[in-house]
Amino acid sequence: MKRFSRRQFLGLVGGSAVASALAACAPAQAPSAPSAPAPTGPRGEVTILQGVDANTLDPDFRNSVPEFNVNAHIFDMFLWRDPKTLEPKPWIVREWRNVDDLTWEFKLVEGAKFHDGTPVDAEAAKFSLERHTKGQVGGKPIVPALRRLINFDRVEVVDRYTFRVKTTAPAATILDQLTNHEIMPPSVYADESADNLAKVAVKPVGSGPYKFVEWVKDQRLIMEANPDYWGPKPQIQRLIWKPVAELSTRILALQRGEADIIVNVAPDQMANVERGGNARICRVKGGRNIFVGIRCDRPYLSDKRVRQALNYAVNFDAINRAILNGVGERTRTIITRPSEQPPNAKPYPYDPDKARQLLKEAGVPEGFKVVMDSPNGRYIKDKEIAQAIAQDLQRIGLQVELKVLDWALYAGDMLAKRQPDDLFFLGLGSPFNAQSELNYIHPDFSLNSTYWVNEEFIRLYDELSRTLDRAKRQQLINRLWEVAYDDPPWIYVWHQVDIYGVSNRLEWECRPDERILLHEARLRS
Amino acid sequence: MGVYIVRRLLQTVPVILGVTALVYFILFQTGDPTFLMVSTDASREEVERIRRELGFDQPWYIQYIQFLGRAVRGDFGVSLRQGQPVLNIILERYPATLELTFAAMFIAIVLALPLGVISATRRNSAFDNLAMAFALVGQSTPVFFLGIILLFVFGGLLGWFPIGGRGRGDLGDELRHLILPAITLGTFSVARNARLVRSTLLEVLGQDYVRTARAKGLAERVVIWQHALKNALIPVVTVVGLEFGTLLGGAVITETVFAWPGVGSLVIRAIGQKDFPVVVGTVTVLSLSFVLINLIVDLLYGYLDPRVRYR
Repeated sequence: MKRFSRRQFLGLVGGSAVASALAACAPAQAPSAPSAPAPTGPRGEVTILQGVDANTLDPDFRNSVPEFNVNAHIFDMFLWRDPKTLEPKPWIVREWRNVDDLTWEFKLVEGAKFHDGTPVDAEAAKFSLERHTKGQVGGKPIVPALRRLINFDRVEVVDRYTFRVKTTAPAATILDQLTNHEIMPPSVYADESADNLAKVAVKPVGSGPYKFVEWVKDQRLIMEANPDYWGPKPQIQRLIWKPVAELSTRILALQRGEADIIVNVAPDQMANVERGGNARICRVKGGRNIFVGIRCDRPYLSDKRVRQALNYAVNFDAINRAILNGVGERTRTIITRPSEQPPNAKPYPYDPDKARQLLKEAGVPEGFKVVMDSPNGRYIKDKEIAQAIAQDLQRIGLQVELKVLDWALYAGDMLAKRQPDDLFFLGLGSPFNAQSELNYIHPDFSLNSTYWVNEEFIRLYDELSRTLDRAKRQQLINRLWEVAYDDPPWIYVWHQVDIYGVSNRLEWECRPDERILLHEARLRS
Repeated sequence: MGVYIVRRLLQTVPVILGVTALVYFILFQTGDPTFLMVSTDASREEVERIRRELGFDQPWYIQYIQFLGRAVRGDFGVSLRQGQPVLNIILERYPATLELTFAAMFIAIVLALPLGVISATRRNSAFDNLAMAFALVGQSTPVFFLGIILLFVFGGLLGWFPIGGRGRGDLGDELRHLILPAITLGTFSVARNARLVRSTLLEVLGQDYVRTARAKGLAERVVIWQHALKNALIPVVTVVGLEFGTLLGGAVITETVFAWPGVGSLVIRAIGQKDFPVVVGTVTVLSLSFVLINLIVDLLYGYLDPRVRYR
């Protein structure tokens, strides 16, 4: 029997309309039929070990990857992100178009139902988007980032399956944002009483390919295949999500066949995972951008030649060999989506002579002291990489004092107050669109503690955020990156590689966006 | 006795106040939790608004007084990250930690007593040397290391036990999940208690009343187990009682290694996420447990040593 993967299914039904959807402003289409033929019934059980348990499954209070991973199976996100191109693709929103610069029209698939039997319709979409853009739910404050990021004004219901999002200014990243937001049944989530909020936080109801069964906190979260799913039928009957904090425990569980997917395998543990022949490694260059922020408001560091020197000083190849088992690659550009990457982007080469020359030109005295902060254990080999970078900087004549701090203190105090030392090691997950990624070095970004102000960058960025035309946007993105490369606010280090251990009995591929999605996964017979 | 118990219970009030105030103060010094609660998409104004609405812009002692006001009514607040009442979250996990602690304690006593007694009665024998060497290694091995080794050997290599977690309900499965973490947590106590039993018993065995018992012609077994051991146990009970509290708190690392869903792993995660209400609630419950166990230990003295009277 011929089997259809989700991607094949979309390709068959959406066809060329999907391709046109890539031109963000053009109309897009997706599966118009509510369901695809199920090649076989779902079978088997798959266990996924994440580092931590979810805190809450309420879509407006969750803010971590493990929570997203669970919700992405119980709910439908409005749109899907293609794991290769990283472009938003049709999903339960099957097509869209720009009515004008301030109006986006979306059409939902017809006939889909939430797990409580209520219809997935434009009213539900309106309800969900309004909840996602509120400042408070049930009196509890939430970050209505979506409101700001898409310049949200209001939602209008056009007909049963069509709705329009009105924005106060052009919102080019709206499609990206919709890949991260759930559509929710008003029948379950409209009640904002404390009791109901406490209930839905642990018993989510969505329209996704899996139905919630049980969540014993810190032990297991179980979901079952939804036989009435509107889209491609899931091929695995039961998913079990467990939190296991300790990596060696996760590896043992995988080797013993007690787990099928494990997260955050350290580069030096890859061989261990494959030992025994039960499991393989799935490795993908992720979106988490690891860098060393530079305080541009400090003496000498305000000079772009000094910041260039810091970039030239880092011997990433040595770091890669000694610390990362060769899996890393130095940052070429902070823009991750292939179609948006500047064509000529290249990493800073290792050139300590040039670095010394630049420092000399900038008048930096020999032995100039800088303090560098690093978290410990937050990112892959963070402290070790920070130590190596500190040594590289000492080789070009700087004196570096490295301060290693626990993450809670690092983020909760130092970054929150925007008062890190001269240099600070940090990683930021990617939103996978250039506009949001370039925003990370914009002075208005809340986590930006570099105090870097480049007037040309700010002007071009403002223009980018108002532009919908794809070709024009690409020109702006290319120039913005040139500015950020030439006048660097960061030492560009690498994009973290995400490494998973995967049982050999499971057909599943990892994605660059840190999401574990088993919509297409199946067990080998 | 009744008055004594009431007085001891009243003494717990300043202890709990002191501990919670200290925890509040320390947590506050490490920054406010708002920043960790919001996604990177949040603007500075939004972070500030949430900080204000949650009351984290207030001085720590104001927040602490507000916490106390709620806590005396049995309300520890709502978890900042989980959206659930803190007491419910703790009570969901407390049985797992108690189960692990009792199991570790059981192993500690059941193994330490015979080890200590035999070592004392066969002083300097091969068994004594071997047992004390074991005690030394047991006391010197970090819990984290021991846990990983046990998991690797008995879980991974031999496959006798499951890798982490707490099992799914039936007794056999629960026990299989419990054994390795209980041994890991209990080993340090086995080692310490065995040494303690040995040394206190040796001391007691040299006393006049033991010589008298022997002179009366009592069997050595009776002399040891009925006369000497009861007195030798008084310091052991003290240590075991205190150890119970230490084990409760010390379960943190064991719970992390074995993915055991108790309050230890809960509090570690809550500290990392700066979930203030959960941290303070958990510390309060653990402190209360510690104080109550100490009280029970003190009451046990009366049984073991008739000279002790409570006023």
